[in-house]
Amino acid sequence: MKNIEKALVTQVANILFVETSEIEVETPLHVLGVDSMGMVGILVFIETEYGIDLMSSDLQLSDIESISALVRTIKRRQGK
Amino acid sequence: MIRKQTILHCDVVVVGAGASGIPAAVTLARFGKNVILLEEMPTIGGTMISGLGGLPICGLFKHNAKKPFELVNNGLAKELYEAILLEDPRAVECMGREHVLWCGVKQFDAICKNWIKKESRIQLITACSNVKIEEQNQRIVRIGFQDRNAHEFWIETKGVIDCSGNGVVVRNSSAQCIEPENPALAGIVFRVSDVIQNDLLPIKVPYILRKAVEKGLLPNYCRFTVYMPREQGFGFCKISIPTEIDMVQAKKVSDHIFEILHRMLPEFLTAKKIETSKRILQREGVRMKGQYLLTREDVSQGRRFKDSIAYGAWPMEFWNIEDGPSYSYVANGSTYDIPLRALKSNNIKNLWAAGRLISVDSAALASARVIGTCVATGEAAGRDAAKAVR
Repeated sequence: MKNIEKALVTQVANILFVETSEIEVETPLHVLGVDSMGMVGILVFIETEYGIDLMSSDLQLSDIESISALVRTIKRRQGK
Repeated sequence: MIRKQTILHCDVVVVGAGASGIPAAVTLARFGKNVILLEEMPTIGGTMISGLGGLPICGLFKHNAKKPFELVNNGLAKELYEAILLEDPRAVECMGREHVLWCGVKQFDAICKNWIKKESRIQLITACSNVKIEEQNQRIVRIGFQDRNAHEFWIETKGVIDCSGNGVVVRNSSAQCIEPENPALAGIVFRVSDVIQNDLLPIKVPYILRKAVEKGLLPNYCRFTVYMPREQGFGFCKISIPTEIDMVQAKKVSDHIFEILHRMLPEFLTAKKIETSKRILQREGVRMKGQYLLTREDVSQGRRFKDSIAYGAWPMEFWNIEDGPSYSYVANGSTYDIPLRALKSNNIKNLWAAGRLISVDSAALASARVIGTCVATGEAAGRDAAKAVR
């Protein structure tokens, strides 16, 4: 769980050109400054890294709202 | 055959009736100056209108604004905000870390026309072409143009404000210019109806298009297409395109993008493409070299100037062909000053620029070009020109 979170924090920090210490996992991604294109980048990262195609499932906005929500969603899909 | 010429007189000519030109003309008129407002299109409103109302107004509100929204600039920017809010109390929307104001084409057109109509000192001439500039002793003395009937006019004037976006006066005079080396991507907008609403569409659209790009179905830049949902199944797609692409190609690409969305997204199954912008919307082009060049550092540090005449707050929004959009925010969520010197020509004494023609580097323009800031620089140029032509 921690590893996924760490990987996503790094990914978001790269997108926003900020330090990983500035990324709070509970804060909605759009509040952090991630735009729709950044979200696409994160989803593609999850596809390549974890082999989970979130977009082809019945995804809700709340499932991908923050880093912690993403971690929960990934875990849920991996458990299936 | 001897072609007739008509000679006109005014205090100041404003070229371009868009988000900066209209505020410039209105401000001059309110100061009691006679203004001729020239526009090359048959209609007024500039990019706001060409963009079909699919581009929200940015740069009006301070960073992390909370209700009541704190405005960056007062004056006409505030008047515009209040007029829009009167019609639609829910026009302010959160976009990422910033707030924007949505305004439809009809509403923007009505507000602008109302501003102009109230000022008897403004003479608006649309569908102008072949603008020519005559100078004497580093001053512009006459501006020539043809009207829609190819009738030739010459205006004798004391001052000129270039608000044309593409720099009609700046390029056709001896004014020193700034040529962008690597201009930001341009844009084209199309409007759709009958879309089945889904909160995720703003992510799904660029996601599907990215996949289509990876399959070689679309050119690379189509990855940066943005979808903005509006009420009742309406929405806008904004495609960012390289500056060398012409309208015919852009239209083809936009048709292709719609066709892919229609085929790949269930939400777009019943969707119709109802309108495409009539011209390409430029983010960056040739601009005026002023008495000061506002830089990336000035913007990012929120620098203050003694001759500040307007404020900017929108993050520098870089639209790059390789990486798409990225943002750089003003330090501490603050604002930065725009000095009057950035609106005054370096070498022509009675020439001002406003909107996206002001004297800024590429990075600073990536913030200052938004409509909220254009209104403020237009008004400021009008104010200063009114003082100067006394």
